[in-house]
Amino acid sequence: MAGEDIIGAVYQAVLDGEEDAAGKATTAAMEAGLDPMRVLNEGGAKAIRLVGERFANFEIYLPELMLSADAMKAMMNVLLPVLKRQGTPQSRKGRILIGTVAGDVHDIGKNLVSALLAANGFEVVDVGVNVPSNRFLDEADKVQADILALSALMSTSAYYQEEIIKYLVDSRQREKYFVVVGGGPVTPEWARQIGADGYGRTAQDAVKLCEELMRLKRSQSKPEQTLVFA
Amino acid sequence: MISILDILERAHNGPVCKVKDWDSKVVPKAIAEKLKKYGLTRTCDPAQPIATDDDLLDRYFQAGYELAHEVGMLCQDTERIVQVSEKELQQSLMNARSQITLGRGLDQVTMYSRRPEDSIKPLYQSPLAIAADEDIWSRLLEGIASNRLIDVLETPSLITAYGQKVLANTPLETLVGSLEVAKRDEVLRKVSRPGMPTVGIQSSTTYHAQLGAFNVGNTFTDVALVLSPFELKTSYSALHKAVQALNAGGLIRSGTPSMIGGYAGPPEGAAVANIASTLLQFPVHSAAFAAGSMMDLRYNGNCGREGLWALGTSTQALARNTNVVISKIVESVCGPGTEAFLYELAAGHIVLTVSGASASTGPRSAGGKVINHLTPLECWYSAAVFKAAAGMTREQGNEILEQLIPKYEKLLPHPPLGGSFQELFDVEKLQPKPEWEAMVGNVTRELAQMGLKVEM
Repeated sequence: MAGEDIIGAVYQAVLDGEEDAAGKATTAAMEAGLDPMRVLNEGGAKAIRLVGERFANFEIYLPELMLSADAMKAMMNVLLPVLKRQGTPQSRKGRILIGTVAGDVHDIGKNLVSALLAANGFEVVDVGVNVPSNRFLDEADKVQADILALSALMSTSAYYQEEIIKYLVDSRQREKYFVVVGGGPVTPEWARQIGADGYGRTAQDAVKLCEELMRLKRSQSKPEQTLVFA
Repeated sequence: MISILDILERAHNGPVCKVKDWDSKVVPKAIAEKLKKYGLTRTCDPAQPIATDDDLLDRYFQAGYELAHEVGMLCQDTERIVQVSEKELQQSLMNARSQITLGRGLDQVTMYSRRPEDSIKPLYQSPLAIAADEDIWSRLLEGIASNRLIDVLETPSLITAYGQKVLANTPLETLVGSLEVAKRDEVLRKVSRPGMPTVGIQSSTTYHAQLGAFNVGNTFTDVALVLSPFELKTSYSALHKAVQALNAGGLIRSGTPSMIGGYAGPPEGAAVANIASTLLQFPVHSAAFAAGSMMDLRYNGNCGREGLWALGTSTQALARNTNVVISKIVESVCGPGTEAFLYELAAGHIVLTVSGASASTGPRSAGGKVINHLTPLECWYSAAVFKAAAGMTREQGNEILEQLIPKYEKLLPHPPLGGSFQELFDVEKLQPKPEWEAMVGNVTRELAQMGLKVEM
């Protein structure tokens, strides 16, 4: 297969949300000696932009978005080691650990944010729902997250967002991560009250918020107050 | 006849399916197949939020019915599918009650299975579990329960128990359950409605509060609330509640919501999923009556055109083809003290009444997002509008909706959240403040000019 065809296969696999096909096409691209940045930009990134646009226009829905995000991850899992070996700066915007806090089994909002973040180039580690605070922190440490994204859909579970931030403060680890919060009962006032770094009202807001936080991180800065994207 | 033991066995031993595969592959694929098979693709008509094509509605029912017995529900704790055969589903629906009497003595009410355009008045259950501070909770509930337009009493959600924050999955949830019931029963005696039917437990959505307080000791709650997450899912938390309610002699109102733009896809897919999930409440959760909300992912409510259409379509399809008792929710997002909220509530409740809902729970003041943003006045108003629309035709409903929806639809993505109980109500006298009362009066007069006479 010619280079154009292989990149076309990567593009199509991500567009169609075919995880296995995306991994295989990307592997074929690397075996054919193609430039990984070209595969990324003309293949997966191009496709995922279109997926994002279609979702924003309600031409496709959450399942398609999730599947394309998974396909994008499969592509990146092949490309990243190659980029690292080449010494090419990694294109991922940042590493985000996301989950729904303890006592809360709601997943749809978290899945939407997770998929949109991945579609926008973030490396997303999704730890699922009903995640105890200590597990959140263990996982954040393990994956060396830049941002903790805490979702809650109940007023009784939103308290765990506060608990996690308080634990980070008390254990003198608050500077290690940015912490952002969202979900049904979560408001900008709540985010400010508990000392979160940011609040996103919608999934699109969450993406903008994380982009801004990573911009601040790259400039070795931090928000002076809770950033609100609403 | 399927029993709760059969369901528990299937939740433990049914076919394996990962939650992620269920959400992103199994359910979307099955819904897409049903939409194609029954010619339902792109049948949502935003210009006509209450569908009037009976053949179309019946095809929606068939699609949802097939989805229910072919796909079943996933237990998200075990990642096992709880399958229900067509015969078991049929038996459950045949055994389901077509009328349910709740409460005691003079406060007793009966909820009936209704048809679209039915003249039987539906019942209003109020309020929704909007979070409220402990110190004003009883006064707020007293204001709501004192009006006889409210048939069944639910409660706001207590955010603290004896001053301590109620954290999910902790013993504080068990404690808040008993506190809620004690405070509620005191309010019922105070407003002289001791036999008013009640639904619990509202202050915690996990099972802890219910295990701690539902019909424990000398208390009595008529209906247990069993809810599970999007889409066609159950959980051990929901099943815990179902088992406990059956043990304690309570009736079960259960529901699994559907979301436009979510796992179910377009409005048409959400309507089919909602029909299926409503039907499955009877065999899976031993429901006496079914709830099951409809949401639109874009603004987390259901009062936009597609949201109303999907809500009404699923309700009509069920009301035309079954004799079950259906309770639904108008998922408003605006807040008390705003006209947009009153228009939103009117539109949603007209759709539900005309579509054949037996009951509604609400109002969802400020989208349930802001503590204390709930007043008794919108509860009375919603109940009055809901009942006033009984007997209205679908065409009349659409004519009124055409005037109402443009008044608020652009605000849905950034809704005005309004004011709190303390800001809009005289808490001491339990009367609305003049501005809020006048606003409701003005909107009520507008509704009368549109053809809906609301009596409060």
